Amino acid sequence: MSKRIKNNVRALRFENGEMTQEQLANKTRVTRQTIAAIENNKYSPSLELAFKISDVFELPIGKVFSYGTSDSLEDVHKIKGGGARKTDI
Amino acid sequence: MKKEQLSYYEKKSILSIIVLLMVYVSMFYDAAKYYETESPDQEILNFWGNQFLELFLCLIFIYFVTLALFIKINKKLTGEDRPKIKDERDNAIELKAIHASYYVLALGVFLAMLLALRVETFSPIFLMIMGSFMVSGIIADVIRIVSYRKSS
Repeated sequence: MSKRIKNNVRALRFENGEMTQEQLANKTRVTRQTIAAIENNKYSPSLELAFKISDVFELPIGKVFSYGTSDSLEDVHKIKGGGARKTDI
Repeated sequence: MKKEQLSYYEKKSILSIIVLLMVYVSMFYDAAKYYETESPDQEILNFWGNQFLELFLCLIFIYFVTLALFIKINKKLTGEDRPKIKDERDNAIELKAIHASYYVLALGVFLAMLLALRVETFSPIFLMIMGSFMVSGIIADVIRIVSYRKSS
């Protein structure tokens, strides 16, 4: 099975006051279509854009994007709430 | 998964294909009429020089006019403005389209040079170059449409 970059952007948007794709796009200086493509795993963002998106959610990049498997929303809750995970560095 | 509606760039690419086809078909029609006649070399060169000049000027003029109309009509029908920014995904797709069109154009010129070895008149060579211009433009637009569709 091939690995690919996955993300929790959609879930995180809803966790952050039901932020719209348009709002996230404006904060990261990209188009709404690019955010939609990232959420659907149809486009892998550049490292710079991945950092910008992570900055918006105030999370480390590894918690927003993952290679191969996607973090579940539950995991993200733990991180936001300060809970430690096995994969935390 | 629900697909996004056609984006501004997809619609623009479809329009571009239509413009390209219209302009090139009319040029080919002119060229085909001349293709049959037996004229001196200098006259053939002048004709083709004129055809290419006309082609580029026509393309630039018609493209700008239709683009301006498209922006207005699109805004009226969908309320969608021309995108203010071109982001990294747009640039990646643009690069892919230009890359492919460059190869098609290079292949067309190469084939035209091969043709130059076989034929004794200029017309087939210029026709091949003009054809490769058209195909490269269409390929670029098709790649833009497919890439935007695939990533929507």
